[in-house]
Amino acid sequence: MTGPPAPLVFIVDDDRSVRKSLARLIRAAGYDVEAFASAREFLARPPYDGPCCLVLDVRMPGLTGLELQETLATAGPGCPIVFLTGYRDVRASVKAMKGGAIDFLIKPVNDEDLLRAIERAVTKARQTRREWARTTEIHERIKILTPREAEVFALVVTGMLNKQIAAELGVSEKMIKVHRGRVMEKMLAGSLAELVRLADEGGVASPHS
Amino acid sequence: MRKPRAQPRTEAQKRLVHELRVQQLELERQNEQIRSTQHELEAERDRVADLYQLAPVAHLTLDRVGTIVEATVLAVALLGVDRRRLTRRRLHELVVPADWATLSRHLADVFAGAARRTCDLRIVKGRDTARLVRVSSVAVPDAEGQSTRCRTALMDITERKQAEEGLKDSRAQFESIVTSALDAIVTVSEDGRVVLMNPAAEQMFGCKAATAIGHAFDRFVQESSRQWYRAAIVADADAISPAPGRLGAMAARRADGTEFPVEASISEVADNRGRLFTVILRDVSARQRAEHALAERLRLEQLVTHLAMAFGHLSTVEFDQEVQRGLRAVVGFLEVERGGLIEFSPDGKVARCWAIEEWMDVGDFPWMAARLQRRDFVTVSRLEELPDEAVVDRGSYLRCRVKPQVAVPLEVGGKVVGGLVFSTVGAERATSDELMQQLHLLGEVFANLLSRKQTELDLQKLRQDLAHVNRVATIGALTTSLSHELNQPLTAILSNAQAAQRLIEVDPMDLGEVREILKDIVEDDKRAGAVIHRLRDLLRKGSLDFTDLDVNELVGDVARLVSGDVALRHVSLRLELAPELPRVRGDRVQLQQVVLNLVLNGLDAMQESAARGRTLVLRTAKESSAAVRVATRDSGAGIDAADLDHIFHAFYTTKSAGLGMGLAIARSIVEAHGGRLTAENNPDGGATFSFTLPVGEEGP
Repeated sequence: MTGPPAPLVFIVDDDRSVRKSLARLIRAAGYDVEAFASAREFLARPPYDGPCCLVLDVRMPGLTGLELQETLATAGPGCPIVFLTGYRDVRASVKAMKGGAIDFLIKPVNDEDLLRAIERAVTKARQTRREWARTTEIHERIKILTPREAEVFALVVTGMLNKQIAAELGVSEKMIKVHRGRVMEKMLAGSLAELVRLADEGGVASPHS
Repeated sequence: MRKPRAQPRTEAQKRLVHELRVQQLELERQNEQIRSTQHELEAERDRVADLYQLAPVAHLTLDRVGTIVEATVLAVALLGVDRRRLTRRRLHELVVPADWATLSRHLADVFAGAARRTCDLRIVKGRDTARLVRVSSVAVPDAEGQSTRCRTALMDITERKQAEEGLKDSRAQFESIVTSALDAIVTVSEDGRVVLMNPAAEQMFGCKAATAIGHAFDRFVQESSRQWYRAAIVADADAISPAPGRLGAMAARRADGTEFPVEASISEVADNRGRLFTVILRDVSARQRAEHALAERLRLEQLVTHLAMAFGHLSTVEFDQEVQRGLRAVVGFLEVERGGLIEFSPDGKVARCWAIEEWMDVGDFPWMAARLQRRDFVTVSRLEELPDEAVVDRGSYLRCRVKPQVAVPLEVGGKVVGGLVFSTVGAERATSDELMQQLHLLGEVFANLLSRKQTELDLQKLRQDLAHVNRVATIGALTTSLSHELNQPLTAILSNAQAAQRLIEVDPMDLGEVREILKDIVEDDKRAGAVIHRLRDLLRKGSLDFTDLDVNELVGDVARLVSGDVALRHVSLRLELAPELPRVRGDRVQLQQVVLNLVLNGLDAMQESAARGRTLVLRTAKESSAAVRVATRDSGAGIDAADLDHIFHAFYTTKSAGLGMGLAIARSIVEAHGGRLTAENNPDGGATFSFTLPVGEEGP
């Protein structure tokens, strides 16, 4: 890849002129824009590997904005969504925000409000992408741990002493020390504190629920 | 006679014996004859005695002082005394004392003159009945030619006397009947001359009996009836036996020439003066008048029934046609030439006019219309009667060439809704009480017709209003979709404009793109306009009008409307109306709908509560200088806290039967008027719904 990919703004709105005018405005603000007439059309596009943002109309024939949001949520980091709606609908807005939407804007929307929301979305998209890349890397490291090492890793990051871990796993303290050393090596951790952070970032669950 | 010998008899002896024998035979024959005669005599005597005894006339034999010597069987029966006790009693004992002198004089006369004498005596019979007996006596001389006895015949004449008396009485009665009879009685001779005329006849014909008697009765019979009258007499005259009388209707004529109907009965009376005919006449003009009035009344009732039926199932389409037909029927009945029906609008103006052949029009008779408005029966018999202010009316009369006019106000529920007008073209005619009564009745039919028409129109309007309310509800539901549709072009316009703003800041400016944008903005603006236009179309309603309204009047109207319902549900409805409320601007029907809705809601809410405490208060108040508040307060169960948030939502209902549209519609109407509709529970139970309406500022 040649440098970080440019942020791309997707617009999904069934109304042609709205679609067109929004695209114009967002493009004038310096973004790349792709516009779609329906959720289905949008889903048909190959996933974009870069920071992006989705400006989505709530009410559309076929798949609605909220339904598209649900669909996208299950498919990885994707695009943060800025919802546009024709009328105030508290329930829909609450649902959208709970689903991780950046904003819920009422049409007709002022350019500053819209562009600020897009900006926030793009920033969030970038951040999400970074986090996602880090998590992916940690997961790659975790993948090379043996099952025993993984067990020890999970317990070490909870702050347990070697002795306690040995008792927990029913092996000698000496063996725990060996495993622990290998875990530090494989996870590229210089210290226990770093290992704990990696575990946190990689979402390794503690056996103590 | 000598004793015969037994020795041989001599010839002489023989002859003597023979003679003796013959003599003996002779004697025996005579003896036989005598015996037979005696027998005959005895038989005759018995026969006479029987005749005497059985004679139809009672006989007594009296001596000079009246002592009864003999009495026949009939006499015994007549006097009613036992035969053994009768003889040797004086007849006086059996006669009423008042007649003793008559009897004594009778006897004295009989024995003095020996001529047959007669007198009437009252015989006492039984305890208290007396019989009148005619007594005829004749003296009977004895061998020396001295009259010591008399034979007396007795005859009971009680019945005959009574019959005679009765005859005398009935003649007097007859005369008094004839004299005092209410019917006219005239006796006419065979040649048609008046023989007798009673006072009633004198009065009937206006002619004294003295001047009529001896002249022909014909002059009292109208020409058309003479034939009948003469035929009646001729028929009687020709009849073999006296006819029972002929009865018939006849036209009679008074001495002054006026004619009148009579019923006449003619019958022959036997009289020794020749054939006479009694004519009994009864004046039936009053009865005929009554019959005529009855027939008229029947005809009127038929007409009213006919009209009521014709008007009963009337659609607005057939209305004009049916009114014309009805007017024609009435005009025919009243025998006038012109008829018309006027309808007043609620503000008292002549709204419409139906007239046969369109002879009158809405503005033709303002003076008459004004009087009808005041509930006056208007009768104009002559044009000169019109007051000076009736200039237009006079002109219309002359132009329409109608003469007198009768007009009745049509009232329904104390309000004059119209008038019924009739005029004639020909002769001027006086109006009778009877005509006015008929018009009154017919007026009711037409008043009902107008009221029915109004009801029909009101109903139609109500349906329209309901349809509109439904439309408002639909609009409520459509608002979201419409605002979305409107939002789209507005969004596009704004975004386009703002994109353009950004583009013109960039150097070099992409003029082509800006031009595109402007073109799109214009397009979207048109689109928004079209949406708004559609919305307006949806809201449009023929009779939707905002006017200045008196809220108290509006609330009062609704209260009247539901009064029946309120009573039926045992609710006491109280009005608490603030005086001198400022008027508001609004659509009367829609706002009535709101109040009606809230009232019905309140009534429904109290359905479950005890009948005694069911109270609904309708209150108006001045909310501020800019708003008026109307509230309905019920004493029901109140509104559940959970429902309070939703009751104004469409399709939200707590009632088992209800669409849940009422309050939603009410709220949308109130909001369309710039007011607010709210609900709250009362601290002492029940709920209060109230809404505000802004005070109307702008003029109409």
